[in-house]
Amino acid sequence: MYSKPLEKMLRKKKVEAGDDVRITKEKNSYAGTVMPKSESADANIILIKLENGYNIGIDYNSKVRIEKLGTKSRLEKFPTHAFTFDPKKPTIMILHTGGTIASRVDYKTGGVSPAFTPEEFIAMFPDLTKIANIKSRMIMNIASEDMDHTRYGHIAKEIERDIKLGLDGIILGHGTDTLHYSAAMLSFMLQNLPAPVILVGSQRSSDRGSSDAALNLACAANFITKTDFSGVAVCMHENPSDDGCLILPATKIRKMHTSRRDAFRPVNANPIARVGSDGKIEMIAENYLKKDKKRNTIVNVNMDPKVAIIKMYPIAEPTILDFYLKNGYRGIVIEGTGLGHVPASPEDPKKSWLPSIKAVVKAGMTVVITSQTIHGATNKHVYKNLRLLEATGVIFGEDMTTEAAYTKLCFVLGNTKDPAKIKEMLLTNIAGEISQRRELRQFP
Amino acid sequence: MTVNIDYQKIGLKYGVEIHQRLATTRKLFCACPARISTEQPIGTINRKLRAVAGELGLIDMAAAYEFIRNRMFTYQIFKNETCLVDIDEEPPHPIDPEAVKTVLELALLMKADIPGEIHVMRKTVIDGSNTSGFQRTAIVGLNGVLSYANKKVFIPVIAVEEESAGIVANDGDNVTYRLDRLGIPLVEISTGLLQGLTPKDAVEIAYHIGMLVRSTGKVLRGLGTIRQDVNVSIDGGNRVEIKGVQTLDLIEKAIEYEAQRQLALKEVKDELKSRGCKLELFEKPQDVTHIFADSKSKFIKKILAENNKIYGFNLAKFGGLLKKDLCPGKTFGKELSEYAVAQGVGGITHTDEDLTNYQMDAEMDRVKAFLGHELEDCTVIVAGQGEKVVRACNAVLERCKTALFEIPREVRAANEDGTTKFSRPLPGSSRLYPETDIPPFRITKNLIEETRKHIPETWDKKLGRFVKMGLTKELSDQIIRSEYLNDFENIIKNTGVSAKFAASVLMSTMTELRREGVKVEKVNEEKMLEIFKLLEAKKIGKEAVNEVLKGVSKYPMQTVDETISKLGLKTISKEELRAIIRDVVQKNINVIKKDKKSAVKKLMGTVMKHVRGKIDGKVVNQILIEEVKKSHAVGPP
Repeated sequence: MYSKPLEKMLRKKKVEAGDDVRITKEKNSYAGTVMPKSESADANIILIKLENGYNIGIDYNSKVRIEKLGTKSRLEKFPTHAFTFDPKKPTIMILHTGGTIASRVDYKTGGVSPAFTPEEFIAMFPDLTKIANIKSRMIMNIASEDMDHTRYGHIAKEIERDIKLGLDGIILGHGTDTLHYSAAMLSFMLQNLPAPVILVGSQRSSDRGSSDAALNLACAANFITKTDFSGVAVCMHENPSDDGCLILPATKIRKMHTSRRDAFRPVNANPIARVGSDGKIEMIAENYLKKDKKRNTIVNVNMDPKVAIIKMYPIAEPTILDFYLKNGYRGIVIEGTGLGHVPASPEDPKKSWLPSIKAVVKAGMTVVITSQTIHGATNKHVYKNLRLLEATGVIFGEDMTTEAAYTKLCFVLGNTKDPAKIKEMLLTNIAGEISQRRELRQFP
Repeated sequence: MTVNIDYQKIGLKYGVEIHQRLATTRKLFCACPARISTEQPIGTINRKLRAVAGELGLIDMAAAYEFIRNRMFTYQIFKNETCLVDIDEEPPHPIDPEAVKTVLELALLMKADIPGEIHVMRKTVIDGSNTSGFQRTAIVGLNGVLSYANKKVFIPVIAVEEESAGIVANDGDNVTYRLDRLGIPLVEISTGLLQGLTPKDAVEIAYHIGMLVRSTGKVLRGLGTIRQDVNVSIDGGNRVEIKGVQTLDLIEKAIEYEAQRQLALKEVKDELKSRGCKLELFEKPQDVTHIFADSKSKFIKKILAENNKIYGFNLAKFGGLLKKDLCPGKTFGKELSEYAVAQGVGGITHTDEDLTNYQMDAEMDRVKAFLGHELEDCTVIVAGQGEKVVRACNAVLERCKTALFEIPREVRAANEDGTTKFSRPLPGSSRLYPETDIPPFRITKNLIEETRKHIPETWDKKLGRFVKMGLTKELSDQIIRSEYLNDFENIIKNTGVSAKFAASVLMSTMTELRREGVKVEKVNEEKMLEIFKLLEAKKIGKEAVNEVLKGVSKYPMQTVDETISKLGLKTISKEELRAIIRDVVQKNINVIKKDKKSAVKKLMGTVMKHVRGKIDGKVVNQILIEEVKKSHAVGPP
């Protein structure tokens, strides 16, 4: 918000963002276009774009004169791209959900935010049309941290709707922050897929010359059109270079860096494939679901949102669990230390989590144990404290990532209330989230 | 070709732009040290850059042009001077306040207008010199004035910018850059469009901007730390930006040649018009590879062996024009060739040049026939890899189409001889958009007042002050530009030694010693001042300065006092001198008897052997005369 005097003056002069003005202050005068107020700027500053392209902030006071020179709606116009359909080429649908990949500068908030129409989006990546016929649809426009349980179901249904049309594959544009949650959730909700669904994000917004979006999209499109892979996977940069991307298993990945292009890494797993910037594909996975356009997807969008994640730390108090029990939570993933420990001091029962966990399990809550080490599997035998924890009725989540265990627990609780069935489903590998072997090359 | 140009008459206009690296602790937008690494890179990464629309929805022409070239960029990573910000893997940190304050100082020195808030902008540059695809830049001052010798030059913009990455290699498809340089703060000072001046005046303006920038004492020195650009136009011409003029003197030549170039291009335009050349006469390039199948030309054989293509096109009504000189050593044909080279081919071959050396006259005749060449036309061929050849042909064709109407607005790179070569179209203001990752920097009244208190003396004023001390203008200038400026100011301020003597030691003696291989850089400011204090107190003689400096350089771990004691360079008193002289006189009494007149001259040398550097020679001479006289007076016993 502008300061009161500045706002009053702008209203009086009918000056809005995008208008051309002349601002006279003392001996100096500046001609330029008024830019929208940015949140981080001072309230008494009017921001204008000078003719030389620079923005400067001018301190407003009662002696500053603002003169409107003209109205121009120069903002917010982007090139668009008309579709042409080539029957010889495969067809890919790009579904947008928002996020950095569909972002550009937003002058209202002063940051990057989703703003492209699909036509504008395609116009930015014309090279994609060389690989396939590209269709594009926006199904929602949110930052990935705002994803919720109704939206997971919505995305799954939209994918099913399109994939039934006999497409060669779907690219799902998604914000990166919670992309690994969505990838896992969609793997559970959409089983037996006839064609690939590749989640693609970007760590640098598409309005930058250095955006990673172009390569991530091109690699996803090449992977869809040149391989027989089906199912859900993720396509992101392999390293900081634009040399190629990795196709990553949807249930065994994690965002491991706040800002790097290669933030997504496989956890207790190998990549599915490597796609070069030249379009060459190196398949790494040996067993995977093969593409078959005649197959029908098994769609199951049931999920229980009353599931939480609790991280263990040395002085974590077990009373934390009371909150969840009181608020009707039906499932908890405890991200334990090391092999899956929780504080279990025999000397000081008040500090031990074991009685509290036993109580919530008895009350009907499902508790799954994962590890905050990220890599490696949990274990319920090696130490006494692990065996004591096992005895409370928790389920050790094998080598599932916390995110996969969390989404799986939501999914399982959405489908059954029977404790035996819950345990059976949790420990059955549905979409590659549990593996029995961990290889040397998988870490770090 | 016009050589004596009346610059007023042709309406010469130019602007001068100076970029100077600042000596800050850290880079402008990250915590890396702002310096060039002395080590080898520890690794590389590869990137591509894309053209994107700016905030007004327009794709900048210069950016679009780069994108078409489709080049891969390799970036060298340095252990200490490259971090994730430099490789665009982490958002930039807030702008370095030290750099902003230095530029603010300069802006205030030029009495510029200071905005209430500094907003960092992204300037699209996708030639790879910035990993992010843009250079970050911000205006710190507007509407300043450069004043010198009663002249005033308008300085519309004073900006702080990040330095680009340094180019290491360019093989056409792949360009290698080093990332230690990227992000070092720069100050950019540009004059407005100046009229009614000669090219020589630009040299003076650039010189004075350089002086001003150095007065802050907060700029880096050495090769490449300052860069000069000029933009030039004439009436009926267009704005052309010449980047990277290496030396001050070359600025004059670069402007002269550019004026000549634009005049000649105007003549080309007029000639084409009078010949009736028009857009409809242009044709698409055609594949003429087949015509060269049996070529004897080594060049062509190589092209065909590599499975490359040869394309040709006819430039209707252009016959003879490609031979025309634009400026010394540069024909229009050579200039067109640069547009092709920029697309990754070797150049162009055309019928306006002597083709006998290439051994391809016969084939060219067939190409001409194939393309329907007429007498007034010029036929051009381009050879190279398929896609690039087509791009190169189109680039040359577009340039020729423009020649009918105007001189293209473009960025040209300065060569060492003052000529220039095409580098890219001139970017417009649509290549600037806000850097939203960085919060605005508020310039408060307090900050301005605080900075104003520390504004340095300008070099013009300094020069005047030194001249008043009795130094020549040349010597004053030399000191100001030298690394000993601080030493000189220290000595003048803290001792009573004459300015002339101090200047001669710092400028001449130090230079001589360095040439002899003495490590004079070991004499730091503190020690230098100490030496001059000892000189003032007559604890060492002026004659000994040379030896003292050598000694101090040789024993950097010792104090000046320890060194001069060790080397026996401490002065002696007149009494001690008299004792030494008496001894010499005694021993040489026969010489004195024999040759009364020249005895002093002869003995002076012997005495000096004992006391050189320890006492003033004049005193030695005077006491020697006295003692020699005494020896007569007393006479032999």
